[in-house]
Parts: sequence; C-alpha cells; structure tokens
Amino acid sequence: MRILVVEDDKKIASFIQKGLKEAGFAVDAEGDGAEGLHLGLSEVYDAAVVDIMLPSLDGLSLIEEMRRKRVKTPVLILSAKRSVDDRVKGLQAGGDDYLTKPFSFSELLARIHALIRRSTQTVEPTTLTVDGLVIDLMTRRVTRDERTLNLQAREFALLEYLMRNTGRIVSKTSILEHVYDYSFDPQTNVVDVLVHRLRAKVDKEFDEKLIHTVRGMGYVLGKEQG
Amino acid sequence: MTFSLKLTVWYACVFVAAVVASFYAVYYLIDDSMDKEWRITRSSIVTMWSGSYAGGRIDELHAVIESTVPGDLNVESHFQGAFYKVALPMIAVGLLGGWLVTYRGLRPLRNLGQTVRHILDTGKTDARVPVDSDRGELNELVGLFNQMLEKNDGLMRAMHDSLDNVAHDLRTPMTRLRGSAEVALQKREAPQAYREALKDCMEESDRVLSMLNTLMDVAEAETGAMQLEREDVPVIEMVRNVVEVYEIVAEERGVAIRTEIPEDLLVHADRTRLRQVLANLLDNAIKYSREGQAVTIAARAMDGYTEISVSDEGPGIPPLEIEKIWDRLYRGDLSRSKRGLGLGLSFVQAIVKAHGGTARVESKVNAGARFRVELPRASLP
Repeated sequence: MRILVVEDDKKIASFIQKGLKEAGFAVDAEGDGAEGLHLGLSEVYDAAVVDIMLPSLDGLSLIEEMRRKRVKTPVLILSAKRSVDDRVKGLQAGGDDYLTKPFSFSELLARIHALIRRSTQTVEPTTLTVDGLVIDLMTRRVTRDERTLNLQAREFALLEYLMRNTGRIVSKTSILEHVYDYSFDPQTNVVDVLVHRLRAKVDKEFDEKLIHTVRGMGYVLGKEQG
Repeated sequence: MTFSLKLTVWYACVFVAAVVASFYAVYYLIDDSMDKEWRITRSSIVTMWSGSYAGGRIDELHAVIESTVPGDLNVESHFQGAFYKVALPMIAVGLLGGWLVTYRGLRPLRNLGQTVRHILDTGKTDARVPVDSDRGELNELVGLFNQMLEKNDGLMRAMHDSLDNVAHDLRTPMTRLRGSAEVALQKREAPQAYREALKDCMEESDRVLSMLNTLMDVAEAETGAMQLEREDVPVIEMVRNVVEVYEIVAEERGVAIRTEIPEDLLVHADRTRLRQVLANLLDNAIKYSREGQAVTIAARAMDGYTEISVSDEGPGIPPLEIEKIWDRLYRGDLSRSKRGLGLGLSFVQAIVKAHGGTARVESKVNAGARFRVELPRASLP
C-alpha cells in the first residue's frame, strides 16, 4: 500500500510519514503543492493525505486538478479550518474525507484504512472476530468463547467500532462521533461510562482482557501487548 | 457625464417643460373664456406666443392676433423674437436652479464619500457621516450607513476583547502543559515516568483544544459572527437525542431523567447548537444530582416562544453566586471539585442570545436549580 502525503509543515509531515511507515505503508512525502500534484498524477497511490494551505498550489486546486485528470486516488484533506463551510468546500473539490488539525494519528490511520477499504470495495465482512470474541453484524449477536453476551444498542455500536479498529487506539472524540453521531465534547465522562459498561460484559468474566485504556489517548481493543 | 451634471440637465428640462406647460394652459384658458369684453394686452399675447410655439395651434393664434392687433405687425418674426427673449433666459434659469438643487440635494452623498475616504485613509473607524435633518430618503441612507459603521466598530471591539480573553484563558492550561514536560525533562527518569508525563501532556493539550474550540464558539456567538442554520426543530427529537447520550451516565449515578415535552412543540433553532445547549444543561444537572434524585427536562409553548427547562433536585446555587454563574470561567465553590472547563453556561448564554432568546436560572439552596431557556418559536422578523 502506497500513500502520498502533501504537507508543508515539516514536523507534521514527518510524524505522519513515520506513523504510516510503522503501520506498514510505503509513503512519499512532498511539501510543495505543484510537486505534490506532479507526483499524484505520475505515480499510482492507494490514498493521499493533502493539506489545504500549501506553497505554489493550494490543496483544493491540487485535488481538483487530479480529479480533472481522472485520477481517482481517495484523498483525505487535512486542514486547520473546522467550519462546516470549509468541510463542504473540501469535499466538493473532490476530497473523500476531511480531518481537522490538531488530529490524533490513530484517527488519521483509521480514516485512511476506511478510505482504502471503500475505494477497493472490499466486501464488508458480516462478522468480526478478535480472539474468541465474535460479533455478527447482521443478527447483532455477540459471543465470546461460544457464550452469548447481551449488549444494548449503544454497547454494540461501541464494540463494533472498537473491533473495526482492532489494535488501533480510538480517541474519546471519535467514539462520540461514531457511536453517538455527536461532535461535541461533553464535560461529563460519557464515553468512560459506556466503556466501563461494555467491559463489564465483555471482559469481566474472562481472564484475557480485550478492552484497554490508554491514558491521554483513548481506548484500544485487542490482546494485551507486553 | 457626472451624476450631478445629469441631474442638473434633467432639472432644467423639467423646469422648462413645466413653464411651457403652464403657459399652454393659460393660453387655453384665455382661448376658452375669451369673449368680447376680454382685453388682451400685448404682453399677454407674447406670453401666449412663447407658450403656443411648442404646442402648435399657430393658426388659431394668428386669428387671435389679427383680430386684436394692428395689421402691419409681422406675426411670425415678432413671435420668434419673443421666443428667444423668453425661452433662453428660461433655460438658463432652469440650469442654474438645477445646479443649485442638485448641489444642495447631493450634500449627504458628498459627506458619505468624504467619511468613507477618511476611514480608508486613516483607518479610524470611529468617523460618522454628519446627518442633515431635512433630507428624507438620503438621510435614511446616511443613517443606515452610520448604523453599519457603528455595528462594524462594535464587532471589531468585541473581537478584540474576546481575543484578549481567549489568550488569557489559554495561558493557564498552556502553563500546565509546559510545566509537565519541563519537570519530566529536568531529571533523568525511568521510561515509565516519561510515559506518564507524556500522558499528562496529551490530556492537557486535549483540554487546551477543547477550551479553544468552546471559547471560539462563545466569541463567535457573542459577536454575532456565528452562522446559525435555523430551522423548525421538534423539541422532543432534540431532547431524546441528548438524553440518549447521557442516559447511561445518569443510570450509573442512580439519577432518573424525566421528560415532559409535548409531541408537536417546535423551536426555531440551529440543531447542532441547540443540542449543545441542552447537553450542557443536562450535563450540569446530572453532575450536581445525587443518587435517587431526578432531573426533569420540560418544554412548553409560550406566547411566541418556546420555553425549555432543565431542573434538578441538587444542592442549588448560593444567592451570591447566582449572577456570576454565567460568566466565562467562573466556577462556584461546589463546581471546583467537578470536571469541566467553567465555560458551559457562558456557552449556553451566548448561543441562546445569538438565537434571540434568553437563558435564566431560578434556584434555592438545597432545593435544586431550574434553568430556563426561551427560544423563538418561529423565524424572527
């Protein structure tokens, strides 16, 4: 999998590049808009991450030009602007997703995976499995080691989201967005409480714990590493 | 051609036409009412000539003149001479009058231009266009323009103030963030200690970000820069939506959430913002409730507006604090031990005001608090 990153802030570019390489991607990074466009048109990428404010050619024009030349690489837009208007402009220019700065790297990674999955039209699995924990997306049945677990709708939605991102840290903000379709930071620990409940059902009676808290970052589902 | 020159010429044309028309009318009057006793003086005929020249009827004029003046008078030439004598000064008077009227009439526009140029040149936005009291529509325009300047000025001031505030409010969490990193770096520590410090930094930076976002929202709402996508929203749908997010938290704390909302009640508001307002109020109410207590969200239609209230049975708000709770970053004694940024209620206040509504609170110590939000039911004029 090969990713193009067009971002002029060197620090941000390098942390994206480093993170993506660690996640197993090949990465080309470019700090200039026109150069980035040149790469995007001449090479084949599975996805591109494009900043809006760029020297010599802004990100939106870059994407528009790529689309005009019929390049269908899915593009994730990075921007410091967070208004609805700016998001709409980005998507209208031909972007496929929009992430506002500052962002967490795990969120960026999850979105890139989703973009690639969508563009390659991988057949959606109907069940997700992590180490004996199985959820059936059609029947909404959840079992762990053959034992049926009774989850409420919200708990199921959270588990599904965590399992789709197995091994990746998901932030509280992204949980709020995906599980509650809610892009606002409630001051009460709504997410903590929901996770606590899910844990009581998924992990409490089992020796191997699957849901882990990463303080300062969020939660991750998977076998404990080290 | 400049606008004022055009106006002058138009005025002159209208003036000449008006004079001609009045002469013509006089001619007709005389013609119709003339009987044998009517004595037409020479000057009145000249007046008539100049009037009738534009309108024709020369034949009739001939007849009139021939029957009243000595035969040797050359009617044509006399007529033309009189025309130039009368018409040219008339046009001159028209032009002069036109210029005067235009010059005076356009004075408010000239003032407007001068003021704008002054603002552009000096960058001082406190200049206002002088208002003449007798200039009808133009004055209205000038008044509106002044109002616009006033509003822009106010917006700029408010923006400036809120920028100051935001900077001030962010310094504290930024200091904490920097402090965590600095302390960790000062000593050689075990990797685990570094990890803890980094986690502190992450938490603190999230806090800074969420504070920044809320402060920006409050500033935008207060200065009127916030774009509200208002529509008619069923209150019950909004409330269900918010309760859904909090019901698990409430359940864990043993707090019941009750709703008393008519099915068909609407409110004219921005969905996302209204949701945030309700979430803030519900968040507060649950936070200050003890096990076994209830939080009630009620709504009712009032005269022209919709009232939504969130009441709790908690400790209430001390009288000394009740006015201050709406202030940015104010945290009462009880509040200090709770999670939060101290921005929730100022956010509520700002958003509700931006909608043209009001937010109020009633509370007695140990008898709970009731937050009431009044929002317009239909679009404002």
